[in-house]
Amino acid sequence: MKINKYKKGKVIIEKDSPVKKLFYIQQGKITDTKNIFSSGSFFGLVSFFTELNVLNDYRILENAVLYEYDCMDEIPEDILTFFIKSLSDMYVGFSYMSLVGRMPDPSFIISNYNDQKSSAAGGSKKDLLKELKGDGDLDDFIKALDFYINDNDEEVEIPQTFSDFKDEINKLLVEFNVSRFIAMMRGVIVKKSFPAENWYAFFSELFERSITLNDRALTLYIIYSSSFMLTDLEQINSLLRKHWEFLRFNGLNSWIDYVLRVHNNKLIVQVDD
Amino acid sequence: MNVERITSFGVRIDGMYIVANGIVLGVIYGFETNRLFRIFSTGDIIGLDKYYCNIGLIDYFGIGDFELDNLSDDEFKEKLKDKSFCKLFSESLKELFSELSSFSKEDEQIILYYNMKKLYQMSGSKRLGLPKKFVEETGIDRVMAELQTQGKVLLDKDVYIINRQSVTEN
Repeated sequence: MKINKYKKGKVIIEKDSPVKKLFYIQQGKITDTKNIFSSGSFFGLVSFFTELNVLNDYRILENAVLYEYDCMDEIPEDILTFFIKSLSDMYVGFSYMSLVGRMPDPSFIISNYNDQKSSAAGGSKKDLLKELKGDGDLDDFIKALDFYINDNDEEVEIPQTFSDFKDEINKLLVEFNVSRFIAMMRGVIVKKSFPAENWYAFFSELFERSITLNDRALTLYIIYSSSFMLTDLEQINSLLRKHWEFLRFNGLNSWIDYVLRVHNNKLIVQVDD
Repeated sequence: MNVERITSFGVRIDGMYIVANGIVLGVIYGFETNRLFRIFSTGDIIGLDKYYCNIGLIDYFGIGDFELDNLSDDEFKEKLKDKSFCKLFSESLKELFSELSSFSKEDEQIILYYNMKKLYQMSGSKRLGLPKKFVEETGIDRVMAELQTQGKVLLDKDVYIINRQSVTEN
């Protein structure tokens, strides 16, 4: 492995040349004129693996420090996660852009999965309806919740006070550190760390920020989280009403349905208690 | 012929899978059209898409007899330190990205035809095709019908199969 520093403007891979190394951006930014690659990511992966020449120059956009590996097995443990993430981004982006001309929409895919899961593999719409009447529907719903609540390897320390927690969340949003943001929110949801009265104003603020960022995934997550932390159905409704046009325009109705179902489920559990 | 959804995809995935034996179909979802985008075979890794946003964005279906080896996330990382695994994985990625690069210039009929041909050829003496029910319910029936009209595929006992004559011609 080599560590190299490059100044802004330097071309590190020339158009029509092969990529012989795996480049990890430790610091700085790189562009191939179409995309910008930031710290924590690899670039030039497709050309590296296919041995095809790159179509554009790769130029340093901000002074950069690059880790350069000759092969995959040289990548150390702490960088492997970034490598796998970059590979996944490339795989998903390439598959969807090449074949359907746009990036995937997770909410659409989840909805499609639920619609097709019993039919595409040999069942029928009748089977699906039968399942909806039984426990299968609830099972699917719980599986979807698992993704948000339990499927998280990242350990985070939850701040002691709500004010510190808010500061930390805001910082993570500025850094756009989504995985840590979700880990922090999950930690708080699971532990029910702060009282319900703190949450409405904060969710309103988060909701508006996610809409300003025009980040659908983040918006979905905030809707979802709000249903866990807010105990007053009126408050949830008020959040949804306030941004109804954005949600409707972005086809997020199925998620709103989920939110209401979470809330209803919570009410049922409370009655049982 | 049995087509089985690998059910952990679509919502939540524990680890990755290596196709130990047989054939797996990959389906992606557009707003207007779905695509059978790739035929995976023995040695290929499936499930890499889950690291994009923590859920599977590509659906995978095993066809006929197939076996998968499950790798946890940690086991996958451990394997990436192994030279011989990396060599095989690199070859698999080379084929994957090369195919996807070439698909970006082709229309959907050619891609489906290529994948039908690949399915047929890789299934050896079983000569697999796609069940009509699967084709309809994954939403690739319109393009399949166009291939049928052109004589490139045939519908035989509710299974779409490549027209061997068209393979010879191509």
